Amino acid sequence: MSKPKLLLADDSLTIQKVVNLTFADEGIEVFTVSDGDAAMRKFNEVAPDLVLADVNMPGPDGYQICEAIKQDELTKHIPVILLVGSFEPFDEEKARSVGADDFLTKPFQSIRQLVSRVSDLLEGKTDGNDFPLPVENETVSDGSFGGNLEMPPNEQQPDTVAESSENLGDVGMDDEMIQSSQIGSLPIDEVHRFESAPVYQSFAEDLDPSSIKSPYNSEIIADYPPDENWAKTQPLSKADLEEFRKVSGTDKTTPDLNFDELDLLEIPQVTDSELTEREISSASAAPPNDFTLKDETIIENQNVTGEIVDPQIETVNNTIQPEHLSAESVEAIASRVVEKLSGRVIKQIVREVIAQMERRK
Amino acid sequence: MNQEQSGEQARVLVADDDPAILRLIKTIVEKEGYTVVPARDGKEAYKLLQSGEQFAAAIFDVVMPYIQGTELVRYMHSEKKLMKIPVLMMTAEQNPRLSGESFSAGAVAFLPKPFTTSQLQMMLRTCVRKNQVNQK
Repeated sequence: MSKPKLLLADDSLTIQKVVNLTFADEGIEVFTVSDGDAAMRKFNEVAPDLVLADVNMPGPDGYQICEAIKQDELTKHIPVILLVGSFEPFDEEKARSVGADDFLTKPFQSIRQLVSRVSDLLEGKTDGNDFPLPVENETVSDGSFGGNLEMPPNEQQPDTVAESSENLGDVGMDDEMIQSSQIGSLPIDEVHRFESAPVYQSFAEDLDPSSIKSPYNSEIIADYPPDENWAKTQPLSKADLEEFRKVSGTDKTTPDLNFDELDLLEIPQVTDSELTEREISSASAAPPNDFTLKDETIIENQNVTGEIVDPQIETVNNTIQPEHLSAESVEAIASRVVEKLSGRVIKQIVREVIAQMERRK
Repeated sequence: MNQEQSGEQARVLVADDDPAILRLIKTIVEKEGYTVVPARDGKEAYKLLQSGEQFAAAIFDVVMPYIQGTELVRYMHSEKKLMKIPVLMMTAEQNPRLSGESFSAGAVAFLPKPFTTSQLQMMLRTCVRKNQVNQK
């Protein structure tokens, strides 16, 4: 049995991705388009079982698409849900007259609400209390699926794609909503698309951070670093340590890490195959990659006095043995490691420790 | 009834693909009295958000497999229920634009790595408190 097909026509990429992600798990095949013209083409091409159409998008809007679908004898049974931005005008009378089956506001109250409404309509359920509307203006089709749907001549609009492509419509919000600081708490003067988004921000194409007034604006960045003490707070690189060795004339100040000392901790290795749905749902109860104390008696044998001022120097000079550290001390050191080391270095250390433990087995 | 009223510990969703960082943040956040729900990538975090659990706050790494942290925040803003959750973003990347992108996506705080324990604790407290005030 083939999967039910859902056609989503919405110019918000976030809505497209959220709907895709959500319905992929529901066993529904999702087709997404960003404007009304593409929606009509896709509709004829894939013959969807249900249509979600934004009432405010480039080209024919949701009302027009709905009207075209409902006017065709062969397609009028296909449910159409209109999507309306919270701050966009919605003409309920018009929706009724074009035969829309339902409408939902964006942002969605809950994505489960959308899933439930779509499931009900796909199963042919209507509770009679929501928006189901009588189909009007029925016409006879030419026999093909969707009758190669076209917009009613009097409803055809001039090509507004270029003009409308400037609109954001992202995450179901318009400019007004964004400017009213509903996204984050910072004022935004102007929002427009990126010409090309880098890989690391694969979904940042809708908003240009350079237009945002924030404590991180370009003037502050230009003055970065902010003061002369800034460098002291940054982690040392390997090159820095080499330089320090040369200047100090000793290797004892910054010896290589002895991973035997990290024997205190056991780090279970977790493979990707272990990442199951069940594990995800019970993640809060039993977090993965847990560190466990190998021998709790060492807590009693601890002999650490005074605050560790700088673990990079103090730890080495005092030659503290890990066996003498309490769980609390290990945690304090671990916290300082996060402060001092970059993620890359920490990853490297973890990899080496795990490899060493593997060799011992 | 919210989690505090029911006597249940409030939950914080923490997503980072680095298990060591995840574990360390978990320790810090738990000291603040929260139950930590860990996620190892963006997709896992999104599924947890969709699971119906209530979260007092979320802490996301910017760069994660499957769904980036900033994308995740945008997704959260497509749902009224999720958009109320304050999100704290963190990153080890040195690109100063990431903070702007995080804020524009809807994060309320940005923490570049490396950060101190107290910085994280302070930001978390501020985010949760501000959110509670906004919702009253």
